[in-house]
Amino acid sequence: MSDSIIRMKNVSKFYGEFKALSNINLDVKKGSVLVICGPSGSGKSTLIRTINQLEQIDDGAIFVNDMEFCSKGKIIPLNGKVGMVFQQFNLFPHMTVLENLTLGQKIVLKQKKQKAIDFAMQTLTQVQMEQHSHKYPDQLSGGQQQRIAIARSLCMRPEVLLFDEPTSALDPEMVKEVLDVMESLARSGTTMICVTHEMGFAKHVADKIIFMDKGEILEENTAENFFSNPQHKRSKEFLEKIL
Amino acid sequence: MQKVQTHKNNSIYKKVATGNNPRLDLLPKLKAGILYFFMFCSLMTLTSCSMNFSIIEPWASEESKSNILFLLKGVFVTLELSIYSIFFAVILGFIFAIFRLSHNKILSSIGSIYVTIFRIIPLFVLLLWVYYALPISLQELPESVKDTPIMKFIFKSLTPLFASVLALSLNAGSFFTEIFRSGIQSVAKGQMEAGKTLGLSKFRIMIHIVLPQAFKNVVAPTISQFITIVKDTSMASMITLFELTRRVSQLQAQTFRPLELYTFLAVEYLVLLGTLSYIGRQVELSRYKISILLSSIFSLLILCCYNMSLTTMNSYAIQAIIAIFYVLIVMIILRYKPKLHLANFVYVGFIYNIIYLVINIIACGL
Ligand SMILES: Nc1ncnc2c1ncn2[C@@H]1O[C@H](COP(=O)(O)OP(=O)(O)OP(=O)(O)O)[C@@H](O)[C@H]1O
Ligand SMILES: [Mg+2]
Repeated sequence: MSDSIIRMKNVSKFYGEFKALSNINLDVKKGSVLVICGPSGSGKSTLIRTINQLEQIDDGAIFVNDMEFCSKGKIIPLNGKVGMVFQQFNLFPHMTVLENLTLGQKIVLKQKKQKAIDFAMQTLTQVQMEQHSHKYPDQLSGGQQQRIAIARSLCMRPEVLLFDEPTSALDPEMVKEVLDVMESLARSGTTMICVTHEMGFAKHVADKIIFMDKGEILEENTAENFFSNPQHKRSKEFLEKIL
Repeated sequence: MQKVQTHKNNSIYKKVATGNNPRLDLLPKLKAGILYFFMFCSLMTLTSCSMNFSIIEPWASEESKSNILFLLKGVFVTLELSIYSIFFAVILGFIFAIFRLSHNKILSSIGSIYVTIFRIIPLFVLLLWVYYALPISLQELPESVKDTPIMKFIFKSLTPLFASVLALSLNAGSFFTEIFRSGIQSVAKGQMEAGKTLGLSKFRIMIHIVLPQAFKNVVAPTISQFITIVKDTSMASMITLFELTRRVSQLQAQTFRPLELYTFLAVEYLVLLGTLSYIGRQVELSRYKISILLSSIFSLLILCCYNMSLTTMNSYAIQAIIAIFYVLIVMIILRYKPKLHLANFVYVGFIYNIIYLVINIIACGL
């Protein structure tokens, strides 16, 4: 038994004629943090959205815990095993924070109400939002909403958490509180795959960084090496531009 | 640009949120009350100076008393027709909206064909067709089909009321289809994705995430459509249904008092529809929740049963028992689902029931 949680084998994806992902191979170890970076339109979002089946793939296979969950024309429901945090939070505006957090637990995990609430409060404490449990999302700031969204994914006891630019829609002063939560999650051993432009975070927290362009993985490296000594010339250019 | 947009959104949410605050809530209610009062007073003074309402004043003479009773029974029929039509139109609209949104090609084309046909045929033409043409075309069916219990039932029930309900709900259903479809489509795509990521099935996403949010978007156009339906019931007078408009016309033909009678007719619709739009506003102001939808549907259902029992059993004792039964069911539901606030039942179900009961007692009794 290997310790890989997510494994992608020769994954390709087309939008009509356009090849959004070409022959992606990827292995994410349990408890590790993977950061995906690359220029706009390079297929980062598409890549992580295929992992939790929001996009179908046209070739290859995706394994979760060494079990094949997704290949062309075959999809086995993940039932929340793969959590996702979106750029736009996507909290349910008609439910309180607590209802947002208990919905999936009650329906998908078939938890008893009280147990679901207890666990929700526990995750809220983890993201330091326990005093806001009865508010509606529109009564919270962007940073607070994003932390709730993280807590909502945690409530499903996911094997891995996906983040798609979780801080891009936030005002600058709120970015830190979200990154702090993500960092503490990483320290406590949560497996994470993050698409982010926060290079400081990547440097600190990531175990591995992949650089993508035009639907391909051009470089796969440790965080340290990626920033000090990038291998591919496209990633060099990319780093020069944003640092 | 993006910033401005979000600020605007926030302020809308704030407005909705203050709808919960009882003190701030009182002001619009007061304003609406005052408005209604003045509207009514001015109408009354305006009309009474040059008009003589003695033909429909219950205290004037025996004849005028029977006249007003005759008209009030028309209100009863109009309400009955409206409620049945609204009920079936909403159901039709919901089913066909789901059809139109379905990925299944056959279902979605059934949905759009329905909308195309019934949105285009004028209601008046549809009424004439259903009442005069449909029975004849049914006669053409082979004997074996005509002998089935369903067809026998249909033949027996092709009354003016049935035809009106059928035409009105087919017509309004096409509008509801479009209202519900656009309401559902207006829910952000990210909401569905979030639900899917939590592992919810399509059905669950629809019930728990999409519909409650779509509900907020469809309340206002749905209420206007309700109002349109009630207004359109007056057309049923053309296929000999004795609802309010037809009764007024008939009385007018006997008494030659168009000014008073048609004013009475207008005021009657004003009161009916004023109440309806007031209820609609209350529903809109309360924080958008699926509970309102559920309790409205439930109330309408009960109301339909209630109406049917009214038309068949005209005993006050039975009516009272049914009313008590209604209260009991509401109490039991609230006991297990306290989130379906009592207020919702009061707004939607109770007010209608009470209006209904009062009119019925006036119309049948006195
Ligand atoms: N639904 C779609 N239909 C067609 N093309 C699409 C669709 N979604 C994405 N694409 C294309 O796929 C490519 C990759 O898109 P993707 O959103 O994954 O980029 P990204 O790396 O996340 O970019 P960004 O940093 O701007 O978010 C883009 O060229 C985009 O135009
Ligand atoms: Mg993206």
